[in-house]
Amino acid sequence: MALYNSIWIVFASRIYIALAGALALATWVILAWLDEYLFFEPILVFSIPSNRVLNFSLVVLISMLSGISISMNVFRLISLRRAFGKSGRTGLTGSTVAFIAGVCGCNSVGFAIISIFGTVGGLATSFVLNYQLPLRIFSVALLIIAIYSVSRNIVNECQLPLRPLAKMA
Amino acid sequence: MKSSFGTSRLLLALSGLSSKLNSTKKWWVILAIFTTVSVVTVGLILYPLASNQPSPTPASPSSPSKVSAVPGANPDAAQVVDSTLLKNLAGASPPLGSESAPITIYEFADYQCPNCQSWWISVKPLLVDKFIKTGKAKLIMVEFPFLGKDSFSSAQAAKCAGEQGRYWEYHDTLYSEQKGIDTGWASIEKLKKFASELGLDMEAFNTCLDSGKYSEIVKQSFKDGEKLVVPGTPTFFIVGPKGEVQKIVGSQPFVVFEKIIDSMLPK
Repeated sequence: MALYNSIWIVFASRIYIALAGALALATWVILAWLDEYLFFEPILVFSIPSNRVLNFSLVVLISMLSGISISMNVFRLISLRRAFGKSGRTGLTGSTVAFIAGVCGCNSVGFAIISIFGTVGGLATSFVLNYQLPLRIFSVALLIIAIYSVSRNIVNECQLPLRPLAKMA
Repeated sequence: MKSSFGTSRLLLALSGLSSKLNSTKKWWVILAIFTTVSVVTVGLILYPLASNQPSPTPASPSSPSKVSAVPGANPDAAQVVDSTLLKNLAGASPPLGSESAPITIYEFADYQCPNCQSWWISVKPLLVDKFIKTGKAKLIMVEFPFLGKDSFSSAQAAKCAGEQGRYWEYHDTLYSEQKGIDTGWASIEKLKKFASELGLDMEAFNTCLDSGKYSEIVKQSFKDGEKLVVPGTPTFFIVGPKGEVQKIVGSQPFVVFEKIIDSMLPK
């Protein structure tokens, strides 16, 4: 119920819908490029190999959840004058884990990491690449927790001014 | 007393509202900056796409080693590729397809790379059917081991299988058996097991692998890849009949290869 209410509160404004959409799109473009679903050179092309449909679905899910989570946190920051709390950090952690899971690999970014950081970079890349799918699922879970947490905060904090009125009544 | 208390509460509320308004304004400015940065970031990413309209950009005969063959390719992104180095790669595999094919595709890959496996599963069969079996193109694999210690030994094992004329069968076995990086799937014992299952001469294979006969060649392959600015795996260089070169980075779909090869083939 808190989630439903807070989504209504936040996304009643078109600005937050636009912000969530822009953030989701930006996240999707970066993750799809890192994961080699989207290519810019030599020609613009997008494709989902049949053996990577699940991973791509998680990329889409993470992008959407990141857009929702970050825009809800921004709403909370702006409307309720609160500094980043636990929920805000969790939202960013979920997105960060998702990015790390995409960055390390045999793609150009992964190769650069190994070249720069040597053995440590290689070990980190191996770990991330071997556990890419569980890490992605973990980041989805983190984002869901973040959205739930921020939605509870939004609903609770929005109810604060009503309490004295309720007492008076 | 009551009135004074009420007034002070009102003043407090007003000052709170005022600071709230100031703060809200501040947050709107932050939101505006944040949104602008997001839009600019996405714009910067998407801007090259707008200038990437498909218009034929034929390879210049005067600069055959410039990456510019594909229609729609961004000429600004062209990189000079040493086509002489490509033709003289120490670690080049035996070609898959006809030696006399007009197009040569060089694939720099790591046997532990999941994107290379993905390309091997989804694109290579289509490439083989349309261009390799028909004698239009040949594929040459160049090992570029960088992901782990087993990448290096699996590259050497493939070379050892090549000594017995079974390079491409062993190559396919490695990709079909691929699991996590350095998880033991390509340990020396497993590499020998794969060779045994393929019916290779095990004495010759074991001697080859244990002696590290191809160690230097595989190291050289990696260095050659670095000279050619291979940024990751898989990376492809498609060399046309006139010596024009097109670089493809990543596990790109068949349509990209088809477009490039068709543009290079004589009409």
